[in-house]
Amino acid sequence: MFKNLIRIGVNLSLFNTTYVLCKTIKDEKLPHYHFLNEQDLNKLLKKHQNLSIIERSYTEHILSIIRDVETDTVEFRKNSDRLIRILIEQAISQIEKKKHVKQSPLGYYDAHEVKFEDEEICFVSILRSGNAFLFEGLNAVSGASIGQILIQRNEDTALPSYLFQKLPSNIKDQQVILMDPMLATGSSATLALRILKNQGVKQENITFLTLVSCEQGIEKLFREFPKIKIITAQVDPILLKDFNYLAPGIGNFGDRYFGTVKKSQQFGQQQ
Amino acid sequence: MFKNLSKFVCCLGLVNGTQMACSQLQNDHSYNRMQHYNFLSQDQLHNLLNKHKNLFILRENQTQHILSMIRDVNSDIVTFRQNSDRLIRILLEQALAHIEKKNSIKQSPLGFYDANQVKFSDQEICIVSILRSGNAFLNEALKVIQGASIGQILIQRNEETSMPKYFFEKLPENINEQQIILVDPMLGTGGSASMALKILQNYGVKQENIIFLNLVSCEQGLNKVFKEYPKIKIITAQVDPILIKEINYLAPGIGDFGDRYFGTVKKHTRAEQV
Repeated sequence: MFKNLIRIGVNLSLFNTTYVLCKTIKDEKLPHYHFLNEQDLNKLLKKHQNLSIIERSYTEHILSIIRDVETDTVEFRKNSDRLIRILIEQAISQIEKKKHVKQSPLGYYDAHEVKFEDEEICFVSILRSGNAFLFEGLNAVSGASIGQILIQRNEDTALPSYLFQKLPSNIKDQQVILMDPMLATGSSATLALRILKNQGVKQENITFLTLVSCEQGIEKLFREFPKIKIITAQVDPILLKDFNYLAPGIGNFGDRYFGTVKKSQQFGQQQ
Repeated sequence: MFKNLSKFVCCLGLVNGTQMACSQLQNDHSYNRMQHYNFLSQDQLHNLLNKHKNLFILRENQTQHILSMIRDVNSDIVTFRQNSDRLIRILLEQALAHIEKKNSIKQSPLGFYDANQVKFSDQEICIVSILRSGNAFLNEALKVIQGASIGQILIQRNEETSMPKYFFEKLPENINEQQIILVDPMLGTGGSASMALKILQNYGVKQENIIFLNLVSCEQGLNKVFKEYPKIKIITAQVDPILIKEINYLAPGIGDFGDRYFGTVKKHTRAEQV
């Protein structure tokens, strides 16, 4: 009996070692991505004058939680909302302001206010992931109008196709804040911007908000639309060529935010 | 009858004319009484930041449009609350950006990355509000840090002497181990803030673990607080140029933030206490 126990013990330990080895080998397959350093980011900012990257200390702790594959839906939504709010406030602070004199309970002061009424601001979301921005958008600017453009990427060709739009009829007179959480190849964003151009919206009146972007996407947008503004929370170092994924990225933002992650998939598609 | 009518109309005309003349005089008089305050210049702000290394002032273009709505005496309560909440949210995110972070390696769906997260869990962060106005911060604070503990200190300013008086406190018993975010919308003389910081000190809280948030402050208040507690951090949205001596009001200021946020503005008073 003692011999049998020893045999069981040895087998168990063999089994355990193999499991640990296999896990290590599997983990080693996943690379470790390093973020762009200050110099690279400064170069990018100099190259594109209309690009704003939110200060790292403000966003890295929030983004760390959003990127983490172990983060559950509640935490994912909460932190996404926080980051989205920061982006929206930044976008509004960059809209043209007008100066006039106002009165506080104690005296007069120089007031600088956003030149436009709530209703003259239009949030245009690129469905489906862009809709995540609308909750915080309406918290910040409760009277804004909302436009929606449905663009889905064809899974085989990776090319975007336009499916549907609903925009305010006077959108060419509005300040447009275009929203999409990820900016990878830039093809979906380009399609959306062309649609806005067809509706008569001027480039100077468009601000594009995105959580995570990459250099290629930014360059593509600015090449075709040099006068728009882009505000991003972080620029990822890599765009994986075969799949057009941002790395380290977030995964599929829409699936994670709306809770539709397929259990069999390890990582999802990006725009 | 016609004569009576015309007499009546003449009288009405006279009454109207007198009223207009009187209100014109009153307006002119009140305009002359009320000053136009100019905000501090970039140089003055730089001097202030150089003097106090632990002072952080939010960037003007981020906050001026929101503060304009808050200061405006004509803003209704809904607008006041909405804009206050927006500004408070921005201040809170700034505070969290300043708390110590720890490095670790985490996994995204595509690979590993260097994660930098706030070193402390929600429960290790304590929002201490100086009642009553400080409580306005709690709404947004619990949206950002859902699990934070909340401490409360009631300090009221004596209306005649302008000296702060301590009434009451309720703080977590392990507060000396926590990261504190002390909140009070206005920093005038610094008397109330100083008293609150003393109470925290008595509980064993270290200065380095305290971040003090306020919407509007002034140089005198900042100088006073930093002189007594040089190691705390202060994050403010705007530094007002004047602290009116006789009444210790910030100018242009906001008025009485607590009254305006909680809807308890007395109708007959024109200028309010800070």
